[in-house]
Amino acid sequence: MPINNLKKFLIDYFIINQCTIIENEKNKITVKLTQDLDEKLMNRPFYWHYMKKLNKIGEPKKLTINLGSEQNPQADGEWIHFGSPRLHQIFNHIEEQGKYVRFFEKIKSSNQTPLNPWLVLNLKINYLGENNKEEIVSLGLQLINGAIYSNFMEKIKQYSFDKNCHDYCYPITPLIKQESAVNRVYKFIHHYLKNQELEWARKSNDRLQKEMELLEYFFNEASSSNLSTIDQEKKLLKDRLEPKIKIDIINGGYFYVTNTTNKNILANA
Amino acid sequence: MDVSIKWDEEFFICLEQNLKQNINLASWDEFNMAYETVKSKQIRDFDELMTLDYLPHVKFLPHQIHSAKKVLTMMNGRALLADEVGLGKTIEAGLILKEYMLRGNIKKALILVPASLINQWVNELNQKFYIPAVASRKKMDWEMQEIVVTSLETAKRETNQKIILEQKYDLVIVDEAHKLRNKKTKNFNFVQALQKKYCLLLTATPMHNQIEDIFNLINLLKPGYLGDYNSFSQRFADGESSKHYVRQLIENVMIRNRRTDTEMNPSKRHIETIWVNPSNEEKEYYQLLESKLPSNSPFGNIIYKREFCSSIEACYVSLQKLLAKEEDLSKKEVISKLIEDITKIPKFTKAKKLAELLSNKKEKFIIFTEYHATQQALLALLIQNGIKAVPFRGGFKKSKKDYMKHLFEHYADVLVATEAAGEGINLQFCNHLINYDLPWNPMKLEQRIGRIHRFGQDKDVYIYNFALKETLEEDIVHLLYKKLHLFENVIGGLDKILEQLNMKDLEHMLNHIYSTSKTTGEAKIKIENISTILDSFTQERMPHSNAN
Repeated sequence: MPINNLKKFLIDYFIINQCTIIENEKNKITVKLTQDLDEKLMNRPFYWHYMKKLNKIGEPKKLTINLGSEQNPQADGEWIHFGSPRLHQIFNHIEEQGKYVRFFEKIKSSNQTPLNPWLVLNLKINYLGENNKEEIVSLGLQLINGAIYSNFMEKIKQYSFDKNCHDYCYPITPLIKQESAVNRVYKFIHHYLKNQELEWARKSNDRLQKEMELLEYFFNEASSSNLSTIDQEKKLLKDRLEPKIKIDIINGGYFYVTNTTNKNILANA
Repeated sequence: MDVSIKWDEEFFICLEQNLKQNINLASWDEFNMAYETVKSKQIRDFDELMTLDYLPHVKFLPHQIHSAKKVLTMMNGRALLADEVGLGKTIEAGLILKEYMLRGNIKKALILVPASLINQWVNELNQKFYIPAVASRKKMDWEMQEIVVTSLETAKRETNQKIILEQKYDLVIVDEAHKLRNKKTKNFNFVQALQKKYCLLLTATPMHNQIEDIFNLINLLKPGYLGDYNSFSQRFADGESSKHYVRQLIENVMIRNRRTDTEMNPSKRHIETIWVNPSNEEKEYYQLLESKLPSNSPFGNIIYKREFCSSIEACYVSLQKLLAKEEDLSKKEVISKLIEDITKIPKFTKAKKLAELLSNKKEKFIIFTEYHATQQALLALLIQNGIKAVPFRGGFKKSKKDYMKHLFEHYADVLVATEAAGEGINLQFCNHLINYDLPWNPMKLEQRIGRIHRFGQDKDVYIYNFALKETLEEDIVHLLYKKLHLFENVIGGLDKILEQLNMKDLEHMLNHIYSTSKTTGEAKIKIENISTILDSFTQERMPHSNAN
């Protein structure tokens, strides 16, 4: 799911980060950055360092972005497209910014409301071998009964959450502690991976064997002085071709949801 | 089948700490956005190049995409990119590097290129590929810098070598890798010693004279596979099974696109031979050289005649040298007389013709000559005629080369270059080339023309060949450039033909014919014979041209 509306995505990003949108045209936006974002994006640490030293308030820059489909030297502003370094700088910032969470569901009621604890983890499974592939998995683990659900982001995107707990709400303490919860997630994923089609791994392994054979053929009569080379070569081949899986955690944390929401999630499974 | 699984455990430690201290916690919007971002960057299919979506401003050619895919999927990032000159090997290498970077396979890379190409590589990687490559500097932090472009000479320097060899590079690229053909050289040993996961060697001429060349390059990509050359060739002669492995090995590592196989629609070449009728004085002097000059070298007086065809100055300088070396008094006298006579020749007809041609042209020209003295003479002549001209030589320092190229691009009208400049500059902004004298080695000619007629040239290319009538040059033009249609066809094809005919060293062969023939007529007949053989070959193999 690539970002299909880059302009909206960027505007959202700047608004979330409290910047003012000065200009919003078809293929062009101009924003007044905040100091925070200027420091993160504009690569001028000396300016900010200097301002702080002098006890002065710095002036954050304006950033004009050109979103045309082709580079146009006449258009002012930076041309931003899917491969531009600026966008990736923004991506990195977003990823770093949105990594750890603790959310409480927003409610309107003024009755005493208990909130049920969930551990939500968005994972990126990296399949490494001859070629690399990634799979993204979103999991939710109910921390009272231990049930695990996948596709979790889809299930909760309709609700709204807040960083702070509403005055009339009280979160229920999880029965399952983090360590045990994490272990359950490991098990769940390992089970999932075990039942998977392993075509990619087999292909990579075949390739490894073939390369090893070729190596053996050319080295089989080689003198002993080549032994260290052949061992090193074997190791390099293995590093490159042996199928492996690495699991990154994109983001995640604790979610506290109302009984109704809890039921809806469980019913939707 | 068991596949090992590794988790990012640090996340849980950080999560616990951040929750405890109530810091670094994201808002609902930030959380959703981060998730969406990662999803959009996800590497999905194994077989598609992600780079193409990321670089919408670059129009890659089908053969470049195909090569990159092959290196990525079939060759595992260890390849010899041996496309013919001008098909964009640099682009292919950049594409592969970018794709690996996007897929997270490469963080650290070392790119070794001729010193004169460093800036060009850095610019291309940054501007075209958005790869933050840097050129090496005097004080260099080899550990911290991730993508570095430098020259073999710099990297090998004592102060750098040790630390570079300690680095673990994900990728090493060597441009003009034919410099590594000889495994006895320091260059070869250095590149072999580099720690590298992936490796790309770029050269248009993977094989020079012998098959061993190619094996040495393969040795860098697949170390030790071929053992030493002797035991290898022995085994190669053994039988079918080893041939199978060897063929597999070569197919596993080498890509060679030929211009004729690609869908590239190259700009056209227009060729014009400009015949110069020598003045009477020049004719007489040429005869004198032929009849009077005492010959010591196996190739007799050919060299002086060739130089004379280029310029009076080139011949004069060589004769002076000859005089200094000569000990026999009577011979010394003859040479002195020849030197005296040459100074009496009025303005050289060829030079006049050149000035004439350039006087009413607005376009930029590059002039190639084989001789330093001719270069100097031409520079002086052009400046006298009010034409802004700058020199270019292989021996210039990198900064001087860059400066001369800059001057040529922005201020000067003409660049006068000697042979050694063939490698290492790209001058696509110029599309007029003059061969003031003609090299006898077709590969040199390919290098010359390759400077302007290459990937990125969008205009038609005009080539003017100056040739002095009734001299060696007439024969050469006739043989190389008419019979072989050398100018119309890129030489890759010729390369193959000469290889098949066992006539790789054409220059040597021509020298031999001239020096062993007793009369000009005899030499002519012999050359005619060669050209007939070549002609019959080229007729079937190359498309015909309509140049004059």
